[in-house]
Amino acid sequence: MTLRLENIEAGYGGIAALRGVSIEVRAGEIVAILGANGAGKSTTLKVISGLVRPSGGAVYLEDRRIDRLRPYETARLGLVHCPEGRRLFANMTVLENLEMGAYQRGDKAGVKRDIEKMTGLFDVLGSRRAQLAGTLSGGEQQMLALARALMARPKVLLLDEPSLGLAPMLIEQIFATIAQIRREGVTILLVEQNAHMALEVADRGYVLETGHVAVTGDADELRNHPAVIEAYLGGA
Amino acid sequence: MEALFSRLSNDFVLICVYLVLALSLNLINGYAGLFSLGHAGFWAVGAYCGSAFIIYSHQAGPGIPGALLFCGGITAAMGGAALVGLIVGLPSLRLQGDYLAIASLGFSLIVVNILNNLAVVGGASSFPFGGLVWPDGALYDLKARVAHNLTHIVLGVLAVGTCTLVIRNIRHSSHGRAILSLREDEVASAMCGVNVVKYKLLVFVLGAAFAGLAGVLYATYTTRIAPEAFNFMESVKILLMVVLGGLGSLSGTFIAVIVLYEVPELLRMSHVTIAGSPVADWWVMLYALVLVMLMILRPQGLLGSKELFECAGIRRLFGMAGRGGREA
Amino acid sequence: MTLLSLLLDGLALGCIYALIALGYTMVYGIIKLINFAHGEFYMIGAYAAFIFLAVVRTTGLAEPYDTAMLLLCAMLVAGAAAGVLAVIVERLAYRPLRRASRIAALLTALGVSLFLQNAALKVFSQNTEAFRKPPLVVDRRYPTFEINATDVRPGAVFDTEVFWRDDVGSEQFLSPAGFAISEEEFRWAAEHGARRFYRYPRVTVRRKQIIIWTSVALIAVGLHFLVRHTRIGKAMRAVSYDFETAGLMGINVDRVISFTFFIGALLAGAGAALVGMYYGTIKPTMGIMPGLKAFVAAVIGGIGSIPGALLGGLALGTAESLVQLSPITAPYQDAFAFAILIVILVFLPNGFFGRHEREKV
Repeated sequence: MTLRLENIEAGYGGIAALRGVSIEVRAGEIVAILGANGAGKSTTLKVISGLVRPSGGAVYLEDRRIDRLRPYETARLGLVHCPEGRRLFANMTVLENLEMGAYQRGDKAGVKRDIEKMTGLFDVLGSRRAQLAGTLSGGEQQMLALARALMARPKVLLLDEPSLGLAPMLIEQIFATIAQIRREGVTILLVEQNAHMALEVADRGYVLETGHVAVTGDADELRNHPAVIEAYLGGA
Repeated sequence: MEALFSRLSNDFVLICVYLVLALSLNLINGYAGLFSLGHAGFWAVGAYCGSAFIIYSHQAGPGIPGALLFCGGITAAMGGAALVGLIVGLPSLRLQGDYLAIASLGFSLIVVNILNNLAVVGGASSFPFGGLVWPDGALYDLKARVAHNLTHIVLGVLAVGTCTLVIRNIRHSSHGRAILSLREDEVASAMCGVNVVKYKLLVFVLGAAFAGLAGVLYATYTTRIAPEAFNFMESVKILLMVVLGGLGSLSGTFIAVIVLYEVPELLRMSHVTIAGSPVADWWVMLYALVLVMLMILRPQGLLGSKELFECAGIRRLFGMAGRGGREA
Repeated sequence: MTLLSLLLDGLALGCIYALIALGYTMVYGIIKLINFAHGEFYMIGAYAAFIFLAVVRTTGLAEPYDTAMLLLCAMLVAGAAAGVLAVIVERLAYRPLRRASRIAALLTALGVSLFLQNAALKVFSQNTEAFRKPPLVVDRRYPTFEINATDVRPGAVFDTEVFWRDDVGSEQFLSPAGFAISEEEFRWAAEHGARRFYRYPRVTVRRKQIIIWTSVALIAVGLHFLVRHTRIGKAMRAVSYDFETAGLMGINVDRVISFTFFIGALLAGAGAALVGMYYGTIKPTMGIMPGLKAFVAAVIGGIGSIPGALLGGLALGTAESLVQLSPITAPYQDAFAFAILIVILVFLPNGFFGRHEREKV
C-alpha cells in the first residue's frame, strides 16, 4: 500500500513540530526517516497513525485520506505503528501482548498460527509466553514489540527507533528481521537515529531538520551525501 | 427599612465570612496548588474553639468584659484551627493532587463526626446549649439587631482586610515565590533549595488559621452553631468560589464569592418557579451544573491566576497602560 | 451483640463496599479519575430495583413472587440502570475533560455527584422508601432448632428468642431471650396457625447475609474471568496500562472506557439492589456515605487493583463492625473509616495490592 504525506504541519500547544513535511512510501518499500532529536521524526509517525492530529496538510493511504482518523481506525486499515520505547503492556504476559497485537483480527485460527510463527521467528519469546512482558530484557522487549506489531498483519508498518538502547548484535538481528518482514510484502516506514544501519536496509530516505525535509533520495545517494555523512554517519 | 438593613447587613457579614474562607483556601489551593477539599473542617474547628472559649470563660468568670473574651476567642479559634491545619498539613507532605483532596475530605468528615458526638459542645444539637450562654453585649446579642450587625460588619471588614493584606504580602515576598513554585513543580523547587516541608506546612497553618477566624466571626454572628452547618457541601461551595474566581486570583475570589452568595439569595427572593417548585430549590443542581460547565469550558476560572487590574480589558476601561506599555 | 454476629454483619456490609469499590478502582485504573458520582450510580440502581419490584408486584407479572430469579432480575435492572447512567455521564461530562488536569476532572465528578443527588431529591420523594423485598428474602436465620411444642406455653421462659413461622414462611416473633412468653402473644400465635416453634442459638447467620455473600462471590469470579480471559477484559487492562499504545493496537479506547464505566456502575447497581434487600430502605442521599466508604476500601486495597478492592471492602466492613463493639467507639464509625483512609494514604499510598509506581521526575 502506498502512503503519502502532503505538506503536513503539526505542533504541540502552539509549538510547531512539523512545518510542511511531504513524504511518500510506495508499496513494498522500506523508507527511512533520519534526523536529530527534535527534528520531528516521531511526530511524523504519530500524525500518520492518528496519535497527533495535523494542523495542516493531508495523509493518504492509497487514495483514502486518513489524517482525520483516530489511532484505532488507522490500525484497522492495516497501518500499524510500533511506538518508540517499545511501550509493551508490562503488566500482561508475553502471550497476552501478542494477542493484543491481533486485537482487531477476527480469525482466531489465524491468530493462533501467527503466534506460533512469531515465537518461531523470535525464539526467545517462545519459552517466555507466560512471563510478564515487564520482566523481559531490553532486547527481548524489542523483539516482543516488533512481534506484537506483526501480529496485526500490517500492510504498512511504522517503526520508531527499533534499535534504541540495544547491543550491536541485537541491532543486527532487528534489522535482519525488518528486511525479512519486507520480503513478505509489508511496506515499512522506519525512523532511526542509527542512520548507518537504517540506510543499509532502506530503499530511500528522508532527512528531517527542525520540522521539514532537508534532504531526500535513494539510500545510496544519502549514504554519500556530504551533509548526511557529516551529521549522521560520523564524518569519514 | 429595618428589614432592608437587616437583610443587607446579613448578606454583608456572611459574604465577609465566605471571603475570608475563600481567600484562605486560595492561599492553600490557588497559590501552593495543594488541593484541599476539607476547608469547612477548619472553619468548624475555628467556630467551635472560639465559641467554646468565649462561652466557657464567660461561665467561669462572668465579670470578664465581652470584648476581651472575643479577643481570646479569636486567638483560640485561630490557634485551634492552625494546630489542626498543621496536623492536616503533615499528610500533605506526602500526598499530591487528588490523593490530598481525598485525605482532606476525609479529615473534614472526621471533624463533623467528632463534633456530632462531642457532649461539651452539644453534640449534634446546636451550641450553646442548656444553661450555657454568650456574654452580654451587642457582639453576642442577636436581639440588639442593629448594633449586633454593625459590630459584625466592622469585624468582617477588618477580617477580610487583614486576610487580603497578609496573603498579598506573602504573595509578593520571596516566600510567595517559594509557595508558587510548589504549585508549578514540587520536585524542581526542592532542587532549587525551597524548603518544601516548611512552606507546605506554613500554607496549611496560615490558611487554616484564617478559616478559624471566619469560624469565630460566624459563630458570634449567628450565635448558634451546629456541626451540620460545616458539612462537605460547604467545602465544595468554598472551593467553587475559589475555582470560579480563578486559582491564585484574589480579586477573582472577591467577585466569585459575591456572585455565588448573592445569586442564590436573589433567586430565593424571586418568586419564579420551575416545574412547580421555587427556583431556589433548583439552586444546588444549578450550582453543580455551573461547576461542571466551568471545568469543561474554562477550567482556569474567570480570571485565571491574574488579578482584575492585570486583565487587558479592565486596564483599557480605566485608561491604564497594558503590561509593557508606556511605562516600559 | 456478640463479636461473631457483628463480624457476620460486617462481612455482609464489606461485600457491598467491595462491589462499589470495584467500580471506583476500575474507573481510576483506566482514566485516573476519582469518580465521586459513583455513589450516585449506586443510588440510582437502588431506585431502579425499587421501581422494578413495585411494578412487578402491582402488575402481578411474576407469579409466584417468591423466586430467586426475581431478585436476580432486580439486580440486573438496577445494574443496567446504573450502567446506562454511568455511560451517559462519562460521555457528557468526563470525556471532554480527558486531557484536562486531574483536579479539573475531580471537581467535575464532584459536580456530577451533587447534580445527580439533587436531581434524585427532586424526582423521588425526599423521604426514605421502604424497599419491599420479594418474600424469598424474608429474613430467616440459621441454624434454628425446633422446640418441643408442648414446652411452649404462656409463662414459659427460654434463654433464647422463640419464634414460629407463618404460612408464607415469614418468621413471627414470640418472645425475647430470658422473658416469659406472654398470654396475648401466645394466643395470637395460636390463632394464626402456629404449630411448630423454633429458637435460635446466640449467633445466627441470616439468609440475606448468605445471599449477599454468594452474590458477591459469584460476581467477583465473573469479573475475574471478564478481566483476565475475555477480549474486552484484556483491552481494559491494556487501556489502563497505556491508552495510546492500546489505540495503536486497534482498540477503540473510548468504547473501552465507556464499557469500564458501565461494568463498574453495573456492580454498584447490583450492590444497591442487595442493600435495599438487606436494610429494607432506600433514599436519595443513600449513595454518599457508602460511596465514600467504598472509596476508602479501594484505597486500602490499592486503588486500581481489582482483588485489592474486594479485600479492602471486606476489611473495612469487618473493621467498622468491630468499632460497634463498644458503645464508646460506636458513634465514631465514620471518623474511624476516614482515619484509616488518611493513614493508608500517607503510609501506604499504593494500598496493600496496588501497583508500585513512583512519580517520574
